[in-house]
Amino acid sequence: MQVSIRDLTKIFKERRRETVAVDHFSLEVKSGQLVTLLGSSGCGKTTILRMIAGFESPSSGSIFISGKEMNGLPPNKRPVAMVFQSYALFPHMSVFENVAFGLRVRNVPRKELRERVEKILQKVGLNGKEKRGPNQLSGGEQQRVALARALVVNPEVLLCDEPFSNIDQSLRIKMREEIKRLQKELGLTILFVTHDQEEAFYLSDKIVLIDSGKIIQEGTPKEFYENPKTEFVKDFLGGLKKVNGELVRVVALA
Amino acid sequence: MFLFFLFVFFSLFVLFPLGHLFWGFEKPVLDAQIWIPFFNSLKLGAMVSFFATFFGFILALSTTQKKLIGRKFFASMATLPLISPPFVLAIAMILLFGRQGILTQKLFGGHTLFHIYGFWGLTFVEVLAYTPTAYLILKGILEAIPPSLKEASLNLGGGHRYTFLKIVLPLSKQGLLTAFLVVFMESLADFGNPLILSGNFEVLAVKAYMEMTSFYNVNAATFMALMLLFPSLIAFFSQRIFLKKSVVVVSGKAQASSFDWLGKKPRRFLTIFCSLFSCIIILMYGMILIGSLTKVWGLKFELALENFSQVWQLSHKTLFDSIFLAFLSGPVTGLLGMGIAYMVVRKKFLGKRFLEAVTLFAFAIPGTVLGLSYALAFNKPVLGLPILQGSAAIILLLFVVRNIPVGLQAGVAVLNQVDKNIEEAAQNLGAKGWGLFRRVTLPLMAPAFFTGWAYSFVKAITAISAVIFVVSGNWSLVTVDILGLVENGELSYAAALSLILIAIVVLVLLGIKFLVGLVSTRGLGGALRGV
Ligand SMILES: Nc1ncnc2c1ncn2[C@@H]1O[C@H](COP(=O)(O)OP(=O)(O)O)[C@@H](O)[C@H]1O
Ligand SMILES: [Mg+2]
Repeated sequence: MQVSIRDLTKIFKERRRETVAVDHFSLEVKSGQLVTLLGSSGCGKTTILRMIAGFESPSSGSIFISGKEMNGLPPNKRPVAMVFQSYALFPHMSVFENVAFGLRVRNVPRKELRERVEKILQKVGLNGKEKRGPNQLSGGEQQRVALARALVVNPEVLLCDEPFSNIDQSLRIKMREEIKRLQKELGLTILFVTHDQEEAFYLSDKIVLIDSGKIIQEGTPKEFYENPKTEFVKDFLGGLKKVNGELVRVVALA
Repeated sequence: MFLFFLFVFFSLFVLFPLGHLFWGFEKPVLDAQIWIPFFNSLKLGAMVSFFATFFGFILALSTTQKKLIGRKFFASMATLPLISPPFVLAIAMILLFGRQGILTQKLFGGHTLFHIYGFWGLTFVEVLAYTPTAYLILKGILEAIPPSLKEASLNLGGGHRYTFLKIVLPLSKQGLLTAFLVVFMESLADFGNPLILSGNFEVLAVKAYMEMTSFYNVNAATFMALMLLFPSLIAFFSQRIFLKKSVVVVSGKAQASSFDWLGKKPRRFLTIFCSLFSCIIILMYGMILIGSLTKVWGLKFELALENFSQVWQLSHKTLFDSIFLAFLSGPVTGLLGMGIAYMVVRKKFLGKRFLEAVTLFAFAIPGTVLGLSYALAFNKPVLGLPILQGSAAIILLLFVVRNIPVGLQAGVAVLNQVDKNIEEAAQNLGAKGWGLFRRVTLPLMAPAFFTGWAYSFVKAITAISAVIFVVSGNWSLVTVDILGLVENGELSYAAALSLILIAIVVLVLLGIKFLVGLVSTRGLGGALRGV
């Protein structure tokens, strides 16, 4: 197992008010799989990712990555890379420097560093824009830089927190396809957070539906269609309908 | 209409008096001696800004760490000097290390440990007095760096030190420069501390005052004032230019984060530093408290409450004058500031840039320079107005002119947040001009107005450098009284009066906070922080 999460719980205590953000959550992710955490806003998805990345410490339970226990390991020692919802690009660095950041930390020799950065920029379609600053890029391009910056360090797991929620619909669909392609091409293990059912169904090898920090149902997209366990699941998937048949041809309208 | 009023106001009360500096000054003083205070002032300013910025940065780093124990307390300590006149620290310094100082007497057997009257004593006191300024600027800057940037750096493998050097420090660069330049300006303009502590180390602000009041040498005084004005202006405009180039961009929405990017060890260092700093602040203000309760400092270290009744007898009138004028300056400053902000942000008109520039310009003029120019300009009737020198009006005017830039900034900050749509909706319903401003915009700006009021009050009641030129027998101020007591060696009285002043400031701040319903746990300096 690439990622294995056992009985993870997170309780936030704030001025005597307790919020149970994650409630006895367990999950197994195989190498090369893309698993989505799906759920409405506030159900604890971000908190799970942040515990895996080491930004929050679990109240109880444990996280293993490639068999290694993560508890107590600081964020900078963990073999994961995160794509932030807000991109979190370094505003004072060029595209190239943003992507090179993780390699510079690792003291990668100059020549190799240049090659790796250019290769990954090529992959996400940003070659030729190395010298620009983040604020000279469109939203979609910024998101690609964030993705490249995370991928270039060859993480064992890629964590994505609603990476496409800040870009418009048409671009979102394009980015969705792109990440699926990259995952196949590079054999990435991805834990992907979203509140968009469509996105989850398009991308996932496995979907984990969460409500109030608890797992409601998990399985492949197909299993979700064929066997929604509860009314809640049906409601949540309400917008989606399965159409039987075969796509023969697409006719352009307009 | 309002615009015309502003134009007249600024011409009459900023440009016109400043013009007198140039008229009053006949020939350059070619004496080589004249350059000594100039270079002393610059040297002192540079030294003070360096340390104040450095300390302010460490304090700001500390209080923005959510897991640092006692951060709220440290934040209060870091801003405490703001609620007293800066020169109160000089008094504490004498109480501690002066010839009659408690440490000198008790610990070192009557030998002065080091000479506090001069460059180093002055540097020490001014660093303490102006660290809060740097702290507030840098805290704002550090808070504006999205937590996700630091998390991204750690996530990519950067350690705490790497994250600090590559992310936090570069993104604070502008803030550090700004803090440095603003403190530099404050140190140049400082009057109270050097008057008490400078000894043989002459600085411009005090020298100009002496030339004017002791030797009636208008030529020399104006020359010094001009020498003081130019470095301040240079510092001010370079700071404006740096600020414009700010790079922090926040895209998307920030995740609430309780994660501290700094590790345990750096945090421990920060805690130790903050504790030391707080100890020094407590020691200094503690000295004022003890001093105020002691009969004759240095000779009879015995408890005496009569200091308070004595200074009350001596100074209650000036105390009331101070409170009255400072309190009155608040709403005037607030309204003018809001009004100008409204014009600058929402309106288009000829001379808009000019208006903004002149307003902020008032901020760049050292108090001593402005005070001197007022003394020169208004000792005779102007445009049919009665002679202003010696009246309450001239003091009030100085308070207002000096604090408008702050009112303006508070106003601009709020206006940029107030939704323009709300105003447009009101406009569609038929509100216009003054009515729109009064009924719709002003209520929305009320919090900034009251913050501006609180700020002006504190600034005004602790001010000394400008007003010392225009006080008179009829209208004087408590800060002037305190300085007088220090000059006469009445340290216990000076301490007692300072303490009363501090108590009033605290009471009024709490009162205003309560009124606005802003009662929060933001610490004593909290009311000032919103600006
Ligand atoms: N730092 C925090 N302190 C207190 N409560 C938090 C914190 N972070 C998240 N929460 C709470 O935990 C719950 C889950 O939040 P989150 O994981 O961000 O949800 P999601 O990402 O699914 O929208 C929410 O109720 C949120 O208010
Ligand atoms: Mg979230």
